[in-house]
Amino acid sequence: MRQWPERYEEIIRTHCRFVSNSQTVGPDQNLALLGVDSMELINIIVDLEETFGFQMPQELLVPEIFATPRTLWKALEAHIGP
Amino acid sequence: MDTLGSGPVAAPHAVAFYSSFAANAGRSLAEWFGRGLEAVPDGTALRIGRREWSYTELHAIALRLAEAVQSASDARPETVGVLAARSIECYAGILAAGYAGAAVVPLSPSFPTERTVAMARAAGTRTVIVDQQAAHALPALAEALPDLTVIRMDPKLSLPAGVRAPRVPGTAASAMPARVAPDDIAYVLFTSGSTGRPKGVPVTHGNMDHFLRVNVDKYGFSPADACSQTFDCTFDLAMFDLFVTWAAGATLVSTPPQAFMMLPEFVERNKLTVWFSVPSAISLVRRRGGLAAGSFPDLRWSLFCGEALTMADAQDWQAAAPASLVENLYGPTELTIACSAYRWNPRTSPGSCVNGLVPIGSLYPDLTGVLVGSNGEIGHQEGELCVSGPQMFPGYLDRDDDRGRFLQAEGTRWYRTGDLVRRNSGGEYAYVGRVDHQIKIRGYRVELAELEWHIRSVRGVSAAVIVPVASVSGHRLFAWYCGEPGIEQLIRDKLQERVPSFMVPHWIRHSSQLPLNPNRKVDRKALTEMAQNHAAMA
Repeated sequence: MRQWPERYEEIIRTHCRFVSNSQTVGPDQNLALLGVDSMELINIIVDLEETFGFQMPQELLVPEIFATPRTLWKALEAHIGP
Repeated sequence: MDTLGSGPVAAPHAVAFYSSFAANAGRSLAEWFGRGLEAVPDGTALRIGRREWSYTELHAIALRLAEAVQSASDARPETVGVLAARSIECYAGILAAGYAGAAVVPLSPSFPTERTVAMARAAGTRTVIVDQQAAHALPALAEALPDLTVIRMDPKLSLPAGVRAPRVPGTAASAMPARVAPDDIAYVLFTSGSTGRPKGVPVTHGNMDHFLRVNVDKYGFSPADACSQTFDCTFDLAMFDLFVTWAAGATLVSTPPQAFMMLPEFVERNKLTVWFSVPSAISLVRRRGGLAAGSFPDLRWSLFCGEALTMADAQDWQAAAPASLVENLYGPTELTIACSAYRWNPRTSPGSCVNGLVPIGSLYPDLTGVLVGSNGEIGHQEGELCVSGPQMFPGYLDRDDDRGRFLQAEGTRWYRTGDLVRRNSGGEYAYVGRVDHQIKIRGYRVELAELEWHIRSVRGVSAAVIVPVASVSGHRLFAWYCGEPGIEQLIRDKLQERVPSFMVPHWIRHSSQLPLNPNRKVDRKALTEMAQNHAAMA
């Protein structure tokens, strides 16, 4: 069962430079270790905002949220409409 | 962390800065800091998040670190590494290396350890000032450099067994930085080389003195200014941030990439009056909606360097910061940070742009340039820009790297920038392109030949070609390789061990045969088109 839309995973994977296109990103893998640096993180956020049509609230811009695909999705879920 | 800024501090006016250079010959980096220290000893020199350090406090920390460096050996070290990022250890460490009379070698805790070891080795670095973020790299560093000395401010930072770690004194015994000469090396930075290893670029105190004199005069910052600090310290533009700010007694504000998310708020909260970043920051800020007209009403200066600045970006930034003067700076590390600048004029500049790019302007005073055409002749209106003068570095750390990088002509030695420029009717230069296969990723130079070399050295790869793909957030790299299919992940893993993450390609694809152009050379144009199609589908 998928935990999040495919588009979400697509965006995350595109920005993980240590992951090849044919691979999947595990929900609990550390994003920094997958090649997401601070500049790349901002690109992820902007891509997510454009794709899902929401604005990331400022209080979510803390490192813990961006630890793994799962922590990020949990924080976003409430802000992304059904 | 409490011990960092609050230790005993030297008496504010115990600082008698002498000139270590001969009369009128200029200042060392320590003396440029001393200019701000003397002007505003209680002024804020540095802000990281909510913490602040005054000029007197920062000076005292640098003196303490310098003393720890000097206590490690009888002889003065030639270089001191700073393996730290956006911490007091990082900023005070850069100052401290100079105070100890050594050249600073900025290193990044986020680079692969293998690369950090190669840089430290090439620079002959045996002493490294570190912060908490460096802890993960220390075991490998200590193993590769058996006589390593580590300086840390936080005694709780754990060290590998057997590493020498002299205590940082609570108060420095001396209030004086060590004496240096104009030809002494101020810092060593590394750029991408074509042979698979980074090239070390030493820059002298004399080079920096000229650069600082030009820029301190030109921008006229004062203690009332607060200046951004966006660049990683492995990037020479960070040296502009630190020393142009400190020479003026202004406040340096650590500006991490997260700040771009809410830039108008960050700029307002920190009362920034000077902005300096790579142009790609503009598109990020725009994507986040932070570039509305008048978003930065209090900026006095908006400076960009490190990549080509587009006309659209300059126009939008100017509208967002209407009271600021926008400048496009240009220059390779080898010519000391920047060697030319162009002042944007909203009315007349659009007509001067070439291929939608803002001109790079005129060379700084006392620097001279010639243009070399593809036939090797000097004096064309368009050609490779070669520059000479007091900001020209003395040559690479490894003299073999000098080959082909200098031009001997008209009785002068010129540095070949590798950049094609065109001279316009006003005598200003406009950037046209590169003469070689080098591109910029977020301002960092990436030699495609170096990356191709790394990929070819992976077992199973017979050939590799890397092409840049344009994306909304700047260039991204696409790697094509020939050889064994299905080893993309192996290649990725190997690159991850050897090069900084910004150099790792976004895409790695197998190709059974690389296309050739009519001259029987690899057809990079065709590969770029194929890469763009793949990237669009991915």
